[in-house]
Amino acid sequence: MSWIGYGLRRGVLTTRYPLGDDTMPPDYRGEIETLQVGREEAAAAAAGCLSNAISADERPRVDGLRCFQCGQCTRVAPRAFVARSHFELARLAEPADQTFRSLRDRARAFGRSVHLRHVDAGSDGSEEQELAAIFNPFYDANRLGIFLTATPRHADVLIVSGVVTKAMADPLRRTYEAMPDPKVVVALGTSACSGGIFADSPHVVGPVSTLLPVDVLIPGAPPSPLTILHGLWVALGHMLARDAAS
Amino acid sequence: MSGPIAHSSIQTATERRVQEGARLAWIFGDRVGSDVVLHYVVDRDGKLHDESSAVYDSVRSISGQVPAADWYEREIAERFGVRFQGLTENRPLVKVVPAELLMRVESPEVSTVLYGPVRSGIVESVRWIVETAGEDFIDVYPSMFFKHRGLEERFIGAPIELAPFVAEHASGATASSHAAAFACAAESAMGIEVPSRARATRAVLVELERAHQHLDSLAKLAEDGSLAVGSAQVFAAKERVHRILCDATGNRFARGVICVGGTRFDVLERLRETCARDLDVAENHARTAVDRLINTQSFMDRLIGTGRLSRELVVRHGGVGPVARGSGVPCDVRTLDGYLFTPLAGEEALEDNGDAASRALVRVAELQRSYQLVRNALDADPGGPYAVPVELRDGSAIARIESPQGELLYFVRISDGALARVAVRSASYANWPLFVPSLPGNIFTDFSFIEHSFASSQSEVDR
Amino acid sequence: MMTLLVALALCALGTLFSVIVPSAFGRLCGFLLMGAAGVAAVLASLQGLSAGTQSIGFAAAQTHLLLRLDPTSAFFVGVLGVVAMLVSLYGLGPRTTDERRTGRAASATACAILFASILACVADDVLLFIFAWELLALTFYWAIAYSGTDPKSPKAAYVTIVVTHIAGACIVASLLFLAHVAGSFEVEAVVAAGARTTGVAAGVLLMLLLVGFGAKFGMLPMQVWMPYGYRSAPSVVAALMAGGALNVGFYGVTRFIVGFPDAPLWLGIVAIGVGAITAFFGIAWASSRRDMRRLAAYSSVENGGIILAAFGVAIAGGALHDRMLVGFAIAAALVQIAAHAAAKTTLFLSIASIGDACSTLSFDALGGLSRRLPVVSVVVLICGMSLAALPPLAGFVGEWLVLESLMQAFRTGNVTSEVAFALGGAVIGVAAGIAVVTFTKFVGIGVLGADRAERVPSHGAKSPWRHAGLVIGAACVICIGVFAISLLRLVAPSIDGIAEVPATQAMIGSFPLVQPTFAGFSSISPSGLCIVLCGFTLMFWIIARLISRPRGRYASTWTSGEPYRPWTQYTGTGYANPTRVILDAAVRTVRDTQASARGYASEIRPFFDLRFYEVLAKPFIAVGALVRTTQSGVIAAYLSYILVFTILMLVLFPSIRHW
Repeated sequence: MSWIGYGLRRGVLTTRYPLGDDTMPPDYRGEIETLQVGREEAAAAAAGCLSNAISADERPRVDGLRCFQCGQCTRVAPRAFVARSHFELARLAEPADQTFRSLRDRARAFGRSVHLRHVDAGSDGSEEQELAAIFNPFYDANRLGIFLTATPRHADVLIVSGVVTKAMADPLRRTYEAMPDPKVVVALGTSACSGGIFADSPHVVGPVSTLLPVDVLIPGAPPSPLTILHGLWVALGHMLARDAAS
Repeated sequence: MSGPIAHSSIQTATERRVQEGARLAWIFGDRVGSDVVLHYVVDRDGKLHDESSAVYDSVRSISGQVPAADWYEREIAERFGVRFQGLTENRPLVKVVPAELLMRVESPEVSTVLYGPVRSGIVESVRWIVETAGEDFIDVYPSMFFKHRGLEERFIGAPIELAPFVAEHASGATASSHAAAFACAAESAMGIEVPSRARATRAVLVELERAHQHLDSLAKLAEDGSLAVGSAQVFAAKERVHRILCDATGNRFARGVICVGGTRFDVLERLRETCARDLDVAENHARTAVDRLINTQSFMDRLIGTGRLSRELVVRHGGVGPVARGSGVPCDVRTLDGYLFTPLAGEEALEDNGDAASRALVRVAELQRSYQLVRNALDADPGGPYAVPVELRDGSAIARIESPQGELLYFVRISDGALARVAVRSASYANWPLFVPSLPGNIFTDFSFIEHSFASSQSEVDR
Repeated sequence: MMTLLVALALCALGTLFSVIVPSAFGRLCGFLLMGAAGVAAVLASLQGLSAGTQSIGFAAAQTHLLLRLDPTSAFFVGVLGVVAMLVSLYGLGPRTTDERRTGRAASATACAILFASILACVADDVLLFIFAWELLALTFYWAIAYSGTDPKSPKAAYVTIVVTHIAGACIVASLLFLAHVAGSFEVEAVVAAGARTTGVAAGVLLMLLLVGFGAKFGMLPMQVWMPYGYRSAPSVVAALMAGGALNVGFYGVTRFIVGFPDAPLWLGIVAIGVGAITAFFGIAWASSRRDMRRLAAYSSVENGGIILAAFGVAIAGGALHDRMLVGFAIAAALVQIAAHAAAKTTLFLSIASIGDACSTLSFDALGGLSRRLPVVSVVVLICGMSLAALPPLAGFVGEWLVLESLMQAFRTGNVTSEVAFALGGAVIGVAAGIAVVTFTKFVGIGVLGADRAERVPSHGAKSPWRHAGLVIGAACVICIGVFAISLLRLVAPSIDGIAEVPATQAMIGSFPLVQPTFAGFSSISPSGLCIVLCGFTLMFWIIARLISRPRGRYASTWTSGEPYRPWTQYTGTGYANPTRVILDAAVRTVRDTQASARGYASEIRPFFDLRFYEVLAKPFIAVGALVRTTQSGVIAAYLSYILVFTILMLVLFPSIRHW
């Protein structure tokens, strides 16, 4: 029963991204692009967005951090909104506390390997599976020097998924305090970035940024493994974030 | 029906039915006006019977006669303020309290391991309070509901068009099952007949979801057993299913596709194109990896005898899904009349031993059948529209879907043209009471094997 | 010789004064005199080691008051002296809570035990030796039953005296038989008379002697009294018992068994086997003990087994006429004896301090002592490391030598002994591994971490006498290890005396190395090791200081996102449980658990516990019950017994006289 032989025979499945190019399928609802037409339709779509991602003003836009990729607006107002299969969605955030060393300095301190510690603050379970997927043979984050660790004491990057519920606020804060400096905080998923559809729930504290100084935001419900790799690559300073790109 | 006498007679009837062999599926509460109404849902001979009545103040607990009622009654007590007399467990279920209040054993030899809520690895948050004198489990208390976001409240007032998105947030990994269950319940409540094309689509999506979730469970078991190549290949097989779903629906978990009245576009056609290209490769990858896995004796040795659940225990607590089928209790909703799409019916996968190995073998059998069922449904390719228009009407109904974890129940009540109450009873919720009784006799390292053999989703429990 | 007599006299005076002088003064006097006696004993032993054999006797024929101080006795007297000094230094501090009332009984019994031990080691007459042995048994009984505050002491004293008397019976029987063969009571003559006994008789005699002396140091199956005895006696006295009086058993083995002319090879193999098994079972049981004193007692059993294995090698070497092997094995045994004496004494003294500070000695309620009792914590660490045989301490050197001696199997040229040596070495290796686990529990659960129970402020924590005793004890443990070469040079006369060849010279290499008596096999340098360890530690500390790093930050212990609380710590039972489970197939502990909804209590008993002996004792008790019927209390019955006995004597007298 040679597992090694079997594994070798399966061949290489790994993508070259982010050291090369890759694409998502054309129908993938990565982000919603606003076209210039149809303001009335846009207003109707704004009223019908469950996470209030569409601003109902002069120039309606979809807030990428609130959008949970349902595509409803593209069906209600197809001339105003169109789904694109872009997957490089991560953004940098301005930490509330400006005395933090810049993300670039911190990432440089990590060198060529970085250890992730994940905390589930109130997710719906899919972000965890997509985060675990970056270690499967198709994406293999280990080749990029990205590893997972069980203890916050050895961690460089804290990845938080899900909106922060009231019960998870203290455990999350303790995890952050248990990590040595320098450290980077990444919010994974739309709920973690903005609260998603639960932003106004009385049982939640809010998105991760209400509790911790977030450095990188990776929206998506759930973000695909390529999006997560983009986000981590941005956090490590090797790639430009979404806002910078556009 | 209302009043204490009516409620008491419902309770007696429920106890009698359970004694005669029925299964208590659910007890849930609803606020109608200023009253609290309790529903007792019993599964007898494959049919769900729902009896409800308003309650006032305190009622008798039936968990002495019907152990399956325990968690339901405790949650209702905490959420709705109803007092149940005769509950054996008085530690809070839903309210998150400091760990000292949940420890029971007073002995200098016993130390308490607090495992959670932030646990090691990429896992969902739940706190275990394990009282141990070394390597054995003396008392284990699952302290859950750290991830309670108020999902059921989010439904209230949401437009019926958008409500399936909320259901998908109950458990993102099994989004199709939740969306389908919600849609079926809403459609039953409003008396809408869904076209067979939409039903076939929903069935295919749920089966593909079963495939990727069962592969996830098996891969995590392989990871626990330190079979790096095995777990990598099974995760790779799971990735292929996600890519099929992404190609066909635009989302790797097929979210945003099911709506009340059908599906949002002609998903079946897209699925046929994608599966014609990719399903064979995906199935082959899964089959070879999983076959190799279950024929690795050193791996199966970790699972055999681990986390044993007897048949009687499962029946008494109303277990569902592969957890129940691993102990020889038949409970597959797909075999019942009127399920989504009848050509799906077939033989249930049953095993006898009730240990983690049996549960894994049940999942392996279901996995293999899922790919075949997808092919059957796509070949059948019923014509017709993929959706019908929705006319908002008042009503209430319960629907059930066989999600990857087991029987998933949704209750939808629409009143005054809006969603007034949506209640969710996931399979993970029904199975959690079986976890602690499966632990005695095992040692600490068996814990993750048992946990992954249950393959529960915490977010659909905490809601 | 005079110093030896002075030592004995001081011990006797110490006992007397402790009894006579009232209240705390009596206790002080007793320990002061014991300290003086210890100094005298050490001086006497130095004299004995350098000046050769001296003897003294009291005139008048047929008195048995003959004392002889040869290098072997001198070594043991020296060990006793050092132990006595440590105990008395500690005892000059305040009374510990487990000493009864004013503590005078404790000091009196300690002096008496010291007297009996020294007497046994220098007795030149078999009857005097037996007298000393019996006195030792009685003083042990006195110490266990009357000087402590433990409510379970009557039972412990009873078990102690029964086992010691069974052992005494074996010793008396064999020594008197040998004396009869020798025609004299002098120890030298008695030992030499062994040459005149036949194979079977010699075998029986030697086994009886082994069982008898084995009871003192805890050879299986005679070890049963030790956990009871050491637990019930006050820890100050237990320190003397475990570190000092224990060695009388080893003296007996050295003098009478190793010195036995033409001891058969099979005895050596039996000794190795029993020693190895004793070591393994002893430490396996130690690991699951909940009480600190019981753990220390079983650790003594383990040590006894290791030393017995070394003696077994010596016996085998003698049978195979390899005197170098004998010398090496004896050297190993003596070093291990010294190491164990220092470490165990100091450990029991530390236990006394911990008992005072915490009013409990159960691991499940200890912890958090490193801030409260810093000196005691460090001393416990050093003693624990030595008993777990970690370098560069005394226990490491001793055990290294013992294992090296067992590795000389190939020199014996005899298949049985090669197998026995190899298996013995393997089992002792396993025991050494388990010892590390056990003492990690001792130090980790007992001393480190956070408090597991409420603490009351203790008296005596700052006593300079106590600190002095503990620190000097720890220093002994370190020095015996680091300066092992010097120790070997010092006791060379003993080693060479028994081996009858200059073995010590062959063991000490040019650079301060220790090696087996066979050159080119292997060697260690304990002092070199110490220098290297300290040097590297210092070097890394300097490098760490020089490399600039960002300032660290203190954070609370990580407990899965929950606030840290002390009850998440391991309990002693919890830590030892995996070891117990793994060893259960071989060690067969009996575990009674009562797990109710709210409580949990378990009792873990070694199978070689009192219940095992109660089964063995059943026929004796039956016979006793039978005999009791003769004691009817009717005077006529007693008169008839006298009559019958007189008639028998008259009838048999001629044959007895002939015989």
